[in-house]
Order: sequence, then C-alpha cells, then structure tokens
Amino acid sequence: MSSSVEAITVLSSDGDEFKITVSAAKLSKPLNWMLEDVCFSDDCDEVPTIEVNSKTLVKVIEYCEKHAPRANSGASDSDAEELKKWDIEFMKMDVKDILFHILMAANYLHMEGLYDLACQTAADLMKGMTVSQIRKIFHIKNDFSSEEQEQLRRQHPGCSFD
Amino acid sequence: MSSCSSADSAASSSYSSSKEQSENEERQTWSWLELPRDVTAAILLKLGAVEILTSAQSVCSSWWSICKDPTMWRAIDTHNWGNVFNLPYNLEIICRHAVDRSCGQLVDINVEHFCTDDLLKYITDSTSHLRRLRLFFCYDISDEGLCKVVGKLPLLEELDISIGTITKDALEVIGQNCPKLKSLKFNMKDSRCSHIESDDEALAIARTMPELCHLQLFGNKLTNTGLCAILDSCSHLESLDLRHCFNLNLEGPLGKRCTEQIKDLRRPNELINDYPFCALMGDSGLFYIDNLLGFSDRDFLSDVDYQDDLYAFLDGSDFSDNVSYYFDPDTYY
Repeated sequence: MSSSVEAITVLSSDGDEFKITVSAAKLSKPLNWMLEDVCFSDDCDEVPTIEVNSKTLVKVIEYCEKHAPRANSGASDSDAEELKKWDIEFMKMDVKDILFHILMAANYLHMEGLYDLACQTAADLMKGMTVSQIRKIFHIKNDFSSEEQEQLRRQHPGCSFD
Repeated sequence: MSSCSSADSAASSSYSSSKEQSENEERQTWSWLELPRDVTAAILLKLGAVEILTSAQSVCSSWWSICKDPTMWRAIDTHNWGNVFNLPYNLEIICRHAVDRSCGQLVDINVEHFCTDDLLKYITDSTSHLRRLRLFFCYDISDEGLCKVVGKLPLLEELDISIGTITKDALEVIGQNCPKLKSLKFNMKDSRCSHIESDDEALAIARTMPELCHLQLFGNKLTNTGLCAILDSCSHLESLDLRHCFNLNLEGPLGKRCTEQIKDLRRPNELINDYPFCALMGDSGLFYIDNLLGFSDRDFLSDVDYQDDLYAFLDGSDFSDNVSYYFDPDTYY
C-alpha cells in the first residue's frame, strides 16, 4: 500500500462524499479492503460506496477517527479511561435517532468495538423497563395472540406481557 | 461495495432491505424487528438473564424465540445489588429457569447473595461443562453442600467463592476434584479480625491447587508461613492479590521473592481504588458507588464522614468497627 495515501473518499448510500483517514479505516475490515482496492487500483477515480446513510456514516467515521490512534498503536490506561468516557458521551448524542442504524452499520462494517458499544447502549435502554415500555422504545408490536399469552403464562408463571 | 461484497453480502443485503423498508428514518418509523437475529441476540445477551426472563422475552414472538435458544444461556449472570428480598420476583426461581433454558450447555454462572446448597446442586446437576463459577456473598452455601457437588465440576477453571462460610475443608476437596482450576478468588468481607492468624486456607490451597495462575485472597488471615507454602507449591502463579492481608510482612526476603516470582502482585497495603465499583458497609447498610454515574470512589469518600476511618482502615490500623471496604462484585468477577 502506498504510504502517500493518507485518506480515502467514500460515498454514503445517499451519495454524499466522506473522507476517512487510512488509520481510521483500519478499524473496519471491509473499509480496509476498500482502502487497499483504492490504493492498488489503476483507476483512482473510482469512489467506493458504503451502504450506510450519511447521518450514520458521520457518526461511524467520528468513532473510527477517535479510536484509530489507540487501535493502531496501543495506549496507556489513562487513555483507555478517557476513551471510555468519550464512548459514553458519543452514544448519548441523538442516540435514539440513529442507534438502530449504527448497530446495522457496525455489524455490516465488522467494527467490533462500536458493535459492542451499540449493543450495550441498546440493552441499557431496556433496563428497568416494562414489556410495554420496551415495545414502545423499539417500535415493536405485540404479536402474541391472547391464547398464546395465556398458554405462555401457564407454562412460565410470573411471565408478564404488559 | 466491490471489495467486500462477497464477505458481507448477507449483512449488506439485510441492511439495504431494512433501509428500503424504513426509508423515513427522520420520523423514526423503523422497528427493531428488522435487526438481524444475531444482533438482537447480542443486545439481549448484554441485558442479562434476569431482565430477559422478567421482561424482554415477552416483547414479541421473535424475541421469545431468540430467548428460548440454549446458546443464549451458556453464561448466566444474576447480578443484583443485594436487595434480593425486596425484588418483585424470586431470583432463585429465575436462576433455575435460566439454568433450564441452558439445556446442559451452561459453562459460566454468577450467583450473588441468594445461592443455597439446593440451588448449587440444581446448577451442577444440569451441566458437566461448567468452567466458571462465582458464588458471591452466599452465606447459605455450606462446606458440605459444596463438597457434594465438586465432583461434577471436572472442567472448572475459575472459581470465586468470596464472602461466605466456606472453610479450608471445602477448599481442599475443590482442589482435589478440579484439576483444571487456574483462578481462585477467596476473599473475606473485611479484615477486622486481622490480628487472628491462620494459615489453614493458604496451606489447603498450597496442598491441592498447584496449577493456579491467579489467586486473590483479599483480607485473608494468612501469615508468611502460608504465603511461603503457596509460592513453593504454585509455580505457575502469575497474579497474586494480598490486599488487606495484614498478618503478612513483605518487608524482608519473602517480599523480594514475591516480586521476583509474581508478575502481578498486590501488596497488603495497596489501595483498592482501581475497582470502578466499591462498597461501603456502614450502620445504615450497603452503599454502592458507581463510576458510571460519574462518581469515583475517592469522590464519594470525600463527601462522607467516613473518610478518616477509611484511610485508617486502608492502612491496616485503628479502623472503625462500622466501616468495611471491599471489592466490587462487578469488576472482580
């Protein structure tokens, strides 16, 4: 790979262009493969598309750029602690708007750290919530028939559907 | 997508189709049912056994199906804050239910505050694959109860039986029956009776657990004799936590030997501020300090009148009878 390339341009699924540095792209295997393609390709004009919408891609790239130094060179415990705090703040922002899409993107881009963080954030949203509240948060309909609910309640005493 | 389409075709198409179905993300009309099954499973795993069984599994038939899968129950964590009797559900029943769901695949279980000999038998009868067992703050587990089940734990690698009534007798039987045991945590609630010396437990460990790599003996009453026996016997020991073991004197050659032999050594007087969760036991009960809420243990302590008592306690001298300070259940698991 040419060392002169410091950043690559990618397109979001909405067609917007984004720049991502080489070191940040290394956090994702698919992004890294794209990077290698771009660097080794004769046709450097081709801009790869990432099947992630612009709003989500901004966040994904922000995460990658923040985590890249530690991922690429290791870091001290205090850096790790600082990064952990940053992660918590990162997931607070507009979290309900795009958490779903971040989860999808992290899964699709094979980004273990972000995937783990997003899963934990989603789980935290459920903590202490009733079944009805969880359905509301995640836009899920109760598809159990009343007969099924009755049967499951008999089999699993204490099981609540509300 | 040319470069990664082959490896990611499934994820990619799943993502695209969900995108088409929920074009109007601004209005947040997406349903989380569109997540791939393994992503939903990963989220539910983070939620933990208790919340799954008391709420999440009943959200919809798809989640119910995921939560019935035995692979979701290989590791069961029944973490709680010690308020077992104030909960609207019975944790023991929930734990048994979770064990049933594992269909013999259980490898890792954490039971805090409520494990009994009966429940332990139920757990160990259900699986022969258990590798990690944590029985934290379980005063209802007896030496006898534990000895009866250790024969069913031939693969056990990590054991934490901190804060309870287990003695050297059970430790010996564990050592004899669990040849793969690599990590043992046998911590005391506090070290208020530190002037009483006893090497019984240390000698039991030295006699029967020579393969140990990690040993945590917070607040143990062992002396230099017991420690010496452990160092002689456990040649693979990499980490050794002796904090609050105030009968030890590591000033001389034994201290030097510890430093040479053990990669990660925690000395008796070292502070325990590397634990993000800590607990203070005072007259008014148990308080947990949660770093995630923005408190460090230091911050909290500076706000309470216990500060002087605590630092005296950490120094191993004249500490208050009302205050004990010990590990957080979350982090030292």
